[in-house]
Amino acid sequence: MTVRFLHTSDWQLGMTRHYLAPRPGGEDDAQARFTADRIEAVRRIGEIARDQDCSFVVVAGDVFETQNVSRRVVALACEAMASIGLPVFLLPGNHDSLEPGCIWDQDLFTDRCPSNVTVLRDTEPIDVADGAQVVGAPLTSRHPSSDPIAPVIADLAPDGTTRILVGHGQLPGLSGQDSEETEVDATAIKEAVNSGAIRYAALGDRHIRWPEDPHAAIRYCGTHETTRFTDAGRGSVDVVEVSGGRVTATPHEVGRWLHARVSREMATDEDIDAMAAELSGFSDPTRTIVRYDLHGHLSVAQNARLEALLADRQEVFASLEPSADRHDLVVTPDGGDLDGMDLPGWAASAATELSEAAASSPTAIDALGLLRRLAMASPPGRAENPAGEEAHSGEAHR
Amino acid sequence: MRLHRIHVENFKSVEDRTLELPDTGLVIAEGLNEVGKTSMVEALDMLLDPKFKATSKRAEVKAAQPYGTDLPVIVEAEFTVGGVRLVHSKRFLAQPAARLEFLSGPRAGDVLTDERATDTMAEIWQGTDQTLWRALRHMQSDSLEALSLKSSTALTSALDRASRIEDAGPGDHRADDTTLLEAAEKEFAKYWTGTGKPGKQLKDATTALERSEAELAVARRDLDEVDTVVTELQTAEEDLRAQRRDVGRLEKESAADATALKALEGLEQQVTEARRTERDAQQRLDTAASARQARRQAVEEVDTARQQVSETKAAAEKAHDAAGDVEEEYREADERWDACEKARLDARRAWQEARATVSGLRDHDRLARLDAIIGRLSGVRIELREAEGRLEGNLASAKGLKAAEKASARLAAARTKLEVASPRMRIERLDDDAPALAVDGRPIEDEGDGGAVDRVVDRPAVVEVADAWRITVTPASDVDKLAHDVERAERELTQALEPMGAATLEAARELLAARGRDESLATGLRERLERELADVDEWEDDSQERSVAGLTELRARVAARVGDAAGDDADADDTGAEAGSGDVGDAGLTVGQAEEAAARCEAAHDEAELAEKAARAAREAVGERRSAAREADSAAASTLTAARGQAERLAARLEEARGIATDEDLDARVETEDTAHWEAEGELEKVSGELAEHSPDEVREAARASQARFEKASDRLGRTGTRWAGLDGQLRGMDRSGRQDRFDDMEGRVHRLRIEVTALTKRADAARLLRDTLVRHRDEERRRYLEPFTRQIETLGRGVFGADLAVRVDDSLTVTQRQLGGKWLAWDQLSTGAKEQLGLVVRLATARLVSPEDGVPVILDDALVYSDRVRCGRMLKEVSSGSQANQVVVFTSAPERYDAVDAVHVDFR
Repeated sequence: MTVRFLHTSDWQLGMTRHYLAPRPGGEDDAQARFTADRIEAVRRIGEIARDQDCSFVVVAGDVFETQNVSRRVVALACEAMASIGLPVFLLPGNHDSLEPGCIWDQDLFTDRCPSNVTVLRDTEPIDVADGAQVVGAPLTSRHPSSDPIAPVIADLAPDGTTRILVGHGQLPGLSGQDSEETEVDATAIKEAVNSGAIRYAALGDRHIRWPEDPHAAIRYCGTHETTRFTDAGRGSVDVVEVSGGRVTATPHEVGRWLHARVSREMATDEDIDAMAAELSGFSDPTRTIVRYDLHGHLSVAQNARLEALLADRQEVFASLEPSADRHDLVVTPDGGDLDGMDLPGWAASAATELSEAAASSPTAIDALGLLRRLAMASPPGRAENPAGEEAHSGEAHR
Repeated sequence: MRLHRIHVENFKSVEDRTLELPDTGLVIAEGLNEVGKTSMVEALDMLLDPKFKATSKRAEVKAAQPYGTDLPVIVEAEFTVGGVRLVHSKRFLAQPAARLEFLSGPRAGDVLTDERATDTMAEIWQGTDQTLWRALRHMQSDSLEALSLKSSTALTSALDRASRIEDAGPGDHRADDTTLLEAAEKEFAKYWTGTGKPGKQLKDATTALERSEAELAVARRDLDEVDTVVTELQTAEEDLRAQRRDVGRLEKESAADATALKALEGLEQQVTEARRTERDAQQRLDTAASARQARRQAVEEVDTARQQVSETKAAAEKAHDAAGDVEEEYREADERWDACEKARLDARRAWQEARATVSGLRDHDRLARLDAIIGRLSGVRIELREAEGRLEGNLASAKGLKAAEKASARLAAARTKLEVASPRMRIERLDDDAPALAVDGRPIEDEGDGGAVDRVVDRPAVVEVADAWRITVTPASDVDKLAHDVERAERELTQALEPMGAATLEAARELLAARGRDESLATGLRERLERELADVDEWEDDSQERSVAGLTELRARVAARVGDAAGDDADADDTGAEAGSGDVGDAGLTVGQAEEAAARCEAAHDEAELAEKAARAAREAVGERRSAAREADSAAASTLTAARGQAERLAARLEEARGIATDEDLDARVETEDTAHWEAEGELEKVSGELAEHSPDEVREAARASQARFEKASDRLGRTGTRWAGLDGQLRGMDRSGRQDRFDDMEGRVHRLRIEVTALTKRADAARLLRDTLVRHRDEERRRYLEPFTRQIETLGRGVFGADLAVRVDDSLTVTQRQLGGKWLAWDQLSTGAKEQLGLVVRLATARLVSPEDGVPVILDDALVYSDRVRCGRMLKEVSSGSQANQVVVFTSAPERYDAVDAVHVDFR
């Protein structure tokens, strides 16, 4: 028999990112947009599921970011899940485990849980169609002491039923995983698949889709909206068809947010232009989170230009920040930096001193940049200059 | 500017004067005070100052016009400015006019007049360093303030050149310097305070970050608190599950143990029941057995009673016989005693009679003796009565005698005194027949001594002689008194003797001696009486009768006794004796004989009495036995009666009992009960055995222990439930989403603030570094810039002040401090002379520094007035050497000061 369903996971609704916090005095609230979009994506999942003739939707854990999510997030999430219009099976993951006082027991969820939604609170198989069952392996605590999946599949017999296992945890050996996360026994799952006790293992916890092979019976579908810079591209879901022993999974992009790294070598003004072009290349900067890491050398003047560019782009991107551990651009004063500055002798000698110190003192570079700005902005007879203020504000948000 | 000539007319006190100056060097313009040295300088100012037009009627102009005249004020000067030699003149007040003539340069030959001349001159003058122009003049009236040469372009450009930092366009960038530094300072001030501490913006941002970080920590703690409660709740839930399992298991165990206990208790109940049954059976058996025993006893009792009756009967008969025997014996004893008693009474009577006889005889004896005594005592008594009678009549006493003797002694003494005191009268008869002579009426007889009368005249004595003569002799008055004393003594003697009935003292003595004798006699008589009476006492001890009266009474009694025996006659001894012998028998018996007879009677009586006593005792003994026999008889009789009664009663009772249950019945019942008891005992043994097999203690302990375990586990479960409920409630009340929101919010804020503070700090540090670097370089440059000026001042000044002179010059090119002898002094602390000297040095140094084309003449108006000669001399040397390249004009009224100086001297008088 053939079963078609949608496999998604790690919605982590209610997630916040500190780098999305509003800037002091800023108008934009990227966090609010981020939160709303993650819920909105659930509606799109429903559209895809319906379009693709799915019978049901399984969410393989971490539906909510924490057990402490707000009433508003739960309410909006419930409405979005209701809009799917198909049976939805929610698996409690490590973020929303069945621990005491968990979200699943709180009134704010139980009062609103739509009728099409089933929380997989136990490992009892649920019939989803003739000869097809969904079997959940919910997490009962944040850090289970043992593999939550192995005992579930041990009880299952290959009796011809098409069983979809819904589990949450890390298969060993995959890159980019957290050592603290729950490991699941890959061998046991493989054996269950091989024996036919289960036909497909819909896994969650890993935010990156894996593997590429569309016929793999053990799969992480990845998160529906990316959450980290390791998550390439936009979030997606898998429409899975299980037909006898054959599995076919097709990814569908649903996410709108992008976590992007911009990594460039800088040396010339052209490089700055190229950087500007790359930043302009993002189709939806308000939903794009950029971590840039620039390398190489720029002069003080070039750096001033770069900073002005970044300051300008920061206004449009959801977040545009240097990578804390990768960005290592070096600013080096060159002859050109002092050109055009009509400095009296003593000021010129001060500039020279700063230039010499620049190699070992970032502050000296900043001081040089400032001198440059003041000298350019303050021709004789003019104490203040609006251009100076602009440069200043650009600097402030670097 | 180089001055060549000044010409002045009608300027104050100056009528017309021209001062010509060489191009360089020192000019000493000599003149007395008030000759107008200062006026020359003022006039020059008025000429060069564009404010003073020729047409000007300003107060200064008017003031310059010689008082009370209408003369024009004329000033003309020839000088070179910017390489061009000019002649400029102004005529004020009267026909005012101005003129400017170019003597050299591109416009050489041009002559301008009036407005044009003034305006053109103003333009040219503008190019001159006004500051320097003013500074290099030292007028007498000028203050001694430190000079500020900052605005002297000539000096500053000279310093610029000297410091060689700017090769081209010196002076143009000064303004820019300030702008850049100001901008840097302004940038610095955005972030830092004047003292270099973080400014408000930086501080606010840092504080905001710190506050937010603190709030984030709080929010994180709040959130962790939720997790802690969740963890605890999880533990509580696990505990609950485990404890519920425990409780279930323990409840089952406890129930099983309780069932076993119940079975045990059933068995125990059975044992109790069997024990009671056995006890009842035993009781019934005991009852039957005791009934049978009682019957057997009753039968025995009846037999015994009957046996006793027969035995008692025999004893009673025997006792009765014994009583009869004793009765007879008693009668015999009683008779014997009667006889003895009679004999005793007879003997007694006989003995009494014998005694009476003895007694009578004795009384007779005594009466006779008594009479003899009484006879003797009567004689004594008569004698005693006589002695006592005498004593009664004799009133003498030792005391009275003693008083009388004393009175007598006094009388004798009084007489002696009288006799001694009285005159003696001796009448002697001279002739036997002499006429009669009477003394005191008593005729004198021949009285011894040959008829002389010798007398003491103690009272008036009357001597009558033959009735013819009366001679009265009167003693002296004191003799009279003595005579009185004698009389009184005589009276006293008489009075003393009177109570004793004695007339004289001798008589009294006699009386007292007689009294003593009588008293002795009476005493002797009384003793004799006593003795006699004591004799009587010997035979009859009756002390009361120890008197004559008593004796008499006694005699009467004895006599009566005798009389009783022998009749009333108590007069003679014989009768008494006769009477006393009455019962004795033979009269004439002696007392001794009578006493012997009485003794014999007594012995007989004693014998009879003994016999009587024996008989009586015998009788009493038999009497006692008789009483006993009688009692025994009576007792035996009553015992018999009682035994008979008892036997009858027991027999009746036995019969009655047998009527109810026969002996056989009782035996059968014992048999039955014994069997029943045996069975009950068997049953008890059986169930007790069963109970013992169940180990009741263990079962009971097991049940108790499992119940306790169950209860404890239940308690624990209850407590865990409470804990769980508490935690659950706590968790529900924690506002989890609120805490999460706050944490998320704070995390974002902290992120933003960190970025902001980092950027701000970066900018602040940059501003600080830039400003510090700029200031440092500017200061360095300034130091280098000021250095030639300072050096020039010190070089010049050392000639005046000494080799150790040093000065400090500030940015405004003002000397602020001077060092001398290692001691720094501020300008204001300097003495007036020092100020003047240093001021000159500064001026000359400036003049030396500026380029010749920029320079102006140094004009000193009576300078060095405050300076001493030594310093003056040095100064002048310096001035002189300095004037090699400059014009130096000194107006002075004391030219001798400059004698030693190589100078052009101009007489200004």
